[in-house]
Amino acid sequence: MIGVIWAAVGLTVGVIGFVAVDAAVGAGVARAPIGPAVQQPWRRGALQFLQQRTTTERPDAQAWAVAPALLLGLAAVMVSVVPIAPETVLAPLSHGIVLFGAAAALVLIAVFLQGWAPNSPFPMIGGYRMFAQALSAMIPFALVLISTALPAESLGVDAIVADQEGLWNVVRQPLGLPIYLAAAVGVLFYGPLATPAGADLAGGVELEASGVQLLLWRIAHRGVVVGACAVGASVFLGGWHGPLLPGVAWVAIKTLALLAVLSTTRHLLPRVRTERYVVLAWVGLLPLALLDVFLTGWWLL
Amino acid sequence: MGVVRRLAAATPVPVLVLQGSGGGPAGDAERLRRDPRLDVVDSPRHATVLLVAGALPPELHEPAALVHDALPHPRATVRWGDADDGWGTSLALRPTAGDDDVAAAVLEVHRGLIDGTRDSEPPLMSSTSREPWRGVGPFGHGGSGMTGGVPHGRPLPDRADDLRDGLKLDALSVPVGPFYAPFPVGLMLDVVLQGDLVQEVHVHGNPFLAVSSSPTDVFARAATEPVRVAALEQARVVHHLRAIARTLRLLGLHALAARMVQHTDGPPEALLSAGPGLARLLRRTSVERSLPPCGTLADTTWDGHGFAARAAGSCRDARSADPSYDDLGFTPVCGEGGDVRARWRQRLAEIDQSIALAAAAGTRLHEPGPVVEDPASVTAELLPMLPDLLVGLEWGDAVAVVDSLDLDLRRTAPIDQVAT
Repeated sequence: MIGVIWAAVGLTVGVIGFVAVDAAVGAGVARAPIGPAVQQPWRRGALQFLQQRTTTERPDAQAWAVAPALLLGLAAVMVSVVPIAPETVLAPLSHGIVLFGAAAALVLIAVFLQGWAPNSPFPMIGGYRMFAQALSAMIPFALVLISTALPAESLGVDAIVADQEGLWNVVRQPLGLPIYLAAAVGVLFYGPLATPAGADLAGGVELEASGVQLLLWRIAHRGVVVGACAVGASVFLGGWHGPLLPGVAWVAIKTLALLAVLSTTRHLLPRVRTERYVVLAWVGLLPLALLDVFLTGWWLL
Repeated sequence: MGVVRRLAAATPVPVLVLQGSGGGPAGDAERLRRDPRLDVVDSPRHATVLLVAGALPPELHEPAALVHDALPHPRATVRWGDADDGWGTSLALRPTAGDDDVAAAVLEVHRGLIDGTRDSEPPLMSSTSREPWRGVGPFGHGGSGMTGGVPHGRPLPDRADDLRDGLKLDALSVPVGPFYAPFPVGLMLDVVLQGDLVQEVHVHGNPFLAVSSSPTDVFARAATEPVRVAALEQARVVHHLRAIARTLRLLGLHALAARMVQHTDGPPEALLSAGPGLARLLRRTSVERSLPPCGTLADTTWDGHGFAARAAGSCRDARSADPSYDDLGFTPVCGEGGDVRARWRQRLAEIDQSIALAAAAGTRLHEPGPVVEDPASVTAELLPMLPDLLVGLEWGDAVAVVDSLDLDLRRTAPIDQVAT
């Protein structure tokens, strides 16, 4: 029970911070006042809480109900492997990075369910797009995570963080973090890769969702992005390592920094066409991720 | 619950706009996007208020009713401008919102819905399907006949050859429009999609041809009354900036889109001083590279008009023969390529040109004349070309092509009355 509360608190704090950062970055780009922009997500969320959850003709009701719950569960799993101090992690697994990778891979299933379930063409096309981009990004995503595990000689996230004392992976594996972020936006359909919920599909997988279903879906979506950034902060930016402040503060600061980077890309980089990203992932990210693995191995030898 | 209701009542109202015909402020609902009290959304599922701006042609009455019924409860409708079209009479709508206070009226309706002082509207359409499903089994997939292959009016998935890479998926017949957010209002297509790929396109007739509608903007007025040349060029800049903002929203850049239209309703001086900076900013972004290099209109095979024709290499521009532009150094901007990217570049170049012309024109008046160069495309000549332009594209690219053409089905002037 304590673990559930821990994950819930971590996720809630992360999502709240992310929403605030994203609203502030968006207001900055739009040259609009930041105050109202930061308040708006809360107000919109309250309205969605009060709105009716509509349905469509002959939807797959079970799948539609499961999709946001699955995505939220995956976000909680991602957060659970993030250590906030030495030997302080909700899921102290020797293979935490594998669990995180598996959760990230299953995001695809949640998105496809959300697209399939309403029995409506444009959400379903959103699901198709998710398959194309997520399958292309998963291998480089996994390879750069494995690269971080090599020097630690462990698949546990806490061991990877402990190994970075003195020198963070972002320095000794300079290719790792950029590839990780470029693949993460595809796996998590965020920013320039939010094509499954693109405006050209009038909202795609979110088109038919309303009320609490839409609210939960959007919270869960932000939750998985928070989870991926928290893990990224742990395996590339040294996690809890840092002077003066307690470990949990450093984890939060580094996670928010990565979230700010992703939020900036969302507001400044245009949507990437699925076909272009698939080519980029297979022809660009995958060889670079392999090079990252080889360079890490060479450095260790 | 009280806190939740207070927060919900204070949110910018998620409003879905159905743009009808007619002039005046209600004929230009796009400018509502600038109002911080409103949040114009793309899906009826995300809205609380349906704003019907202007009169709906008879052919759009039933689609508008379907959109109305797709709004979640609590929901309400506000009419703006000409509401004498017979749509929504069973809703006993409030008096039509005035021209200037439409956002206030929408906000008042929204707050009434949230605090419970206003009832949510009942559906306009019957919930009984006109073509009821007659299948058997837990998922209704068995039986024979069912609904003659068109359950609930939609054709079943079919088999078809693939156009591109041999990867066959079910071919889906999808009716799109007339209120599909990424498309101009009134555009109705019957599309056959295989996965994300457009296989067939059939274009329906223009529903706005059934209603008499004439634009009342500065370009229409310039035909009959003297207006300042600078005002014409400012209006051209505003038109292009709004079109750019629409493209940016399609690309997910909502904050940048908001910045593009920040000065479009303000004083002309602010617009003209901000315009060059905005065009430079857009040239520095990767927007042009993110647009698909497709939707090509070739000047050699297409005898077209307007900015889309100039982006294809034509130098046809009514301002060349307009004496009001003498001594202003006007020469048409002739682009090349004729595709989506070329039309993007053309917009940016014409923004720069119009700002320079407005500055040079000072207080000079435009002589009334029958032909005035309009910044919009000539929809009537582009509509029949859509099938050739869209077939074989991925859906996202097809939407980008339609967006780049700047179609406006409400402008129903015959081709022989447009600028040459």
